Amino acid sequence: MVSVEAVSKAYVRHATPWERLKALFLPDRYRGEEFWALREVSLSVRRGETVGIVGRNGSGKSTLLQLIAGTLTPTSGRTEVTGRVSALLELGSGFNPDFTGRENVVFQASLMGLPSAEIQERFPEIAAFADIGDFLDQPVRTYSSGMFVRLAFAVAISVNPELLIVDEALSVGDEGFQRKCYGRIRAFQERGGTVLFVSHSGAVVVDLCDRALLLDRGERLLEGPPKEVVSRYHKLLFAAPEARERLRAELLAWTHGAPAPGTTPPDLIEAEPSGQPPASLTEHFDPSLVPPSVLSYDSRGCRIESPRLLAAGGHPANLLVRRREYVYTYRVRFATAAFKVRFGMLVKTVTGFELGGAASHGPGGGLDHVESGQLAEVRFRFHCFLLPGMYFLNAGVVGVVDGEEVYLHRFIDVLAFRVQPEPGLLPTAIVDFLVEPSVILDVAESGA
Amino acid sequence: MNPLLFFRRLWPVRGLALKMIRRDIETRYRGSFLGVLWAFLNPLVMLLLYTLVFGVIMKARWPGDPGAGITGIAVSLFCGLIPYNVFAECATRGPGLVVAVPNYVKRVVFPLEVLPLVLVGSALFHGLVSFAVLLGVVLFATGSLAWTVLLVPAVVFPMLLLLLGLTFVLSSLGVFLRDLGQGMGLVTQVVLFGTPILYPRQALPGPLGALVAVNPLAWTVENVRKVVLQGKAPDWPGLLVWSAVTGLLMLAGYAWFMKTKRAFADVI
Repeated sequence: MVSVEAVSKAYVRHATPWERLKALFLPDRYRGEEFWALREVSLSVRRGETVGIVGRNGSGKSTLLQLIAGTLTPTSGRTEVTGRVSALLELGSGFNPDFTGRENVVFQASLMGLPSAEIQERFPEIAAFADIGDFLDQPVRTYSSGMFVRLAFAVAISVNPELLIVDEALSVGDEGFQRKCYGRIRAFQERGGTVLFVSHSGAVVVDLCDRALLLDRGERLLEGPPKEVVSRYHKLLFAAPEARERLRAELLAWTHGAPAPGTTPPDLIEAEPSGQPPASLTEHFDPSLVPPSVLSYDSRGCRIESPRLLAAGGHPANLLVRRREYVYTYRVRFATAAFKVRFGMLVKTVTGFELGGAASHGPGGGLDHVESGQLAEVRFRFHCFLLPGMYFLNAGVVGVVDGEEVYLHRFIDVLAFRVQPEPGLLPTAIVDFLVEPSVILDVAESGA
Repeated sequence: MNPLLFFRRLWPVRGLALKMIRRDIETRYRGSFLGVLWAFLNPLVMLLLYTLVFGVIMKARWPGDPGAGITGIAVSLFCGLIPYNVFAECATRGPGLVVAVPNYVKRVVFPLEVLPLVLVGSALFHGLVSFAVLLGVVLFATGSLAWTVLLVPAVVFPMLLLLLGLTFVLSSLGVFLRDLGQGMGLVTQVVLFGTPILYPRQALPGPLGALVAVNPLAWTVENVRKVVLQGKAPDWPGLLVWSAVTGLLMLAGYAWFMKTKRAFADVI
């Protein structure tokens, strides 16, 4: 019924439409920028089968359906489809907004090759299924997206297709209507109809399909029983980037290795969460990560300079890893002599909430006397017990002037840093308390 | 460029084409109070205005046909303007034809080659309505119609082939060259004055007369006047030659359209 052999589709972007025209006649001289939406994908669907296609956004699902429906031509490879195809590719895309629903139904049906007499005969059925009441005689532009898809689906299923192609369009309708659609699809299946189906809902694919195909970045990762395929699809969706790449590579290798029937495809075994950030996570410096505004107070005899965050190796970092050690450092240049000088730091959330900080010396302490022209370097070693998110740092210098402790210089939001996200993190909120959870099931009632 | 292929491809979609022509005409008058009556009203009022201004006020007579009454100049002008308007509609709407329906290009399996047929068909409809009005006025003014009026379909046949070919090319080029729509506005003006529509061919000085020899629209205009107003048979050899030439041009246009069609989806 459907046979797709090693089909690839490249979208070629040309600088101007005119360049595209020239490329048509001189393909070797005018090459555009290529984007491969599908690479060597094969699929065959037998009469009466229902095949589901799953994949993340941009994985090439719609491109594949469009190739099968014939609205796109493959760049290489071959597609062959026999029988009357009814494709519900995008919401009522063939509808003319200025014409009424009724006119559009008739037009659409004739586009699909139904003779006029048959259209008239089927019309009541279509109208009853769409169930949009008087709107049938209103211009389609006045429709809600729900009404649109109702009418479009009603037409698509009522033209007596042999192959029904359904893109994600159905998800627009309300649940009652979706149920009705699935009911119709099921009836269609029972009559021996062939269905190609794209859905983001794994449950629907498992429920409705005989077979499923997992596409990812234009490649066929896995084809097989819907349950197996959907579970791998969900893993791909929610896994951390490195784990996703690993699973992807394993699935590709497995699929291309012509696996023996009965074996199950590779799966992602999730590591036991230890609470420790993965060792593979490293700190980086992102020069674009700067505080939106730095507030500097008036200097009273000294100035804070070159504030920096350093990772364990001494290199600057502002993308930190939870639970590791860092050094927050800055220098202070004294323009006049100062007394009882203390240095301070503070970590704050994005909302300005003060999380914690420290002073270099206790109250009443500090450097007794600093000469004019001296340069001090302050280092605060700290553990980053913070959860992934963005944080800001303050810096401040105090000294005693006229018997009273005052700020000699102060910076608000002098640095910003981010704690990097980790998959499967157990701690929650802002502060990492090094919690070690444990759960015991079936404990005795007494003894507490 | 096998003509058989052309028919094999377009014959099955004739029903669709007719339906779409109807839709196109309906869309134009949709929502207006008088509806399709406007199609009649426009040419009728124009004819009366021409008669009033040229025939009555300026007392102009069509050169070479001074005997005709006050409507003489108006009907002569109209014989030229009707084919010209059909041409102008194709020429100005052609470049936007495919661009206007991105859904048909990208989202449904649609025989795009129907669109030029629809445009020519719809333009032809308006031409036919104007022509009916013209015949009515001629009948009213002179009390009779020459039998040669029946030959009009044969006379306009080459022009229709030409327009179809032209629309194939324009609607395809319009996709890649968006300024074509602007350019065609100018071209139609040039054609209006470069064709013996507002003046008879005899008024053209010698060397310019050659312009008429290579202008299929000029041939159409002249022969429409011949069969409608003068009751003479058309230029038969010319009809044969022009039919052959425009037929080839039409097939060339069709071939161009089919060749470039696959790139439409990439740039729309």
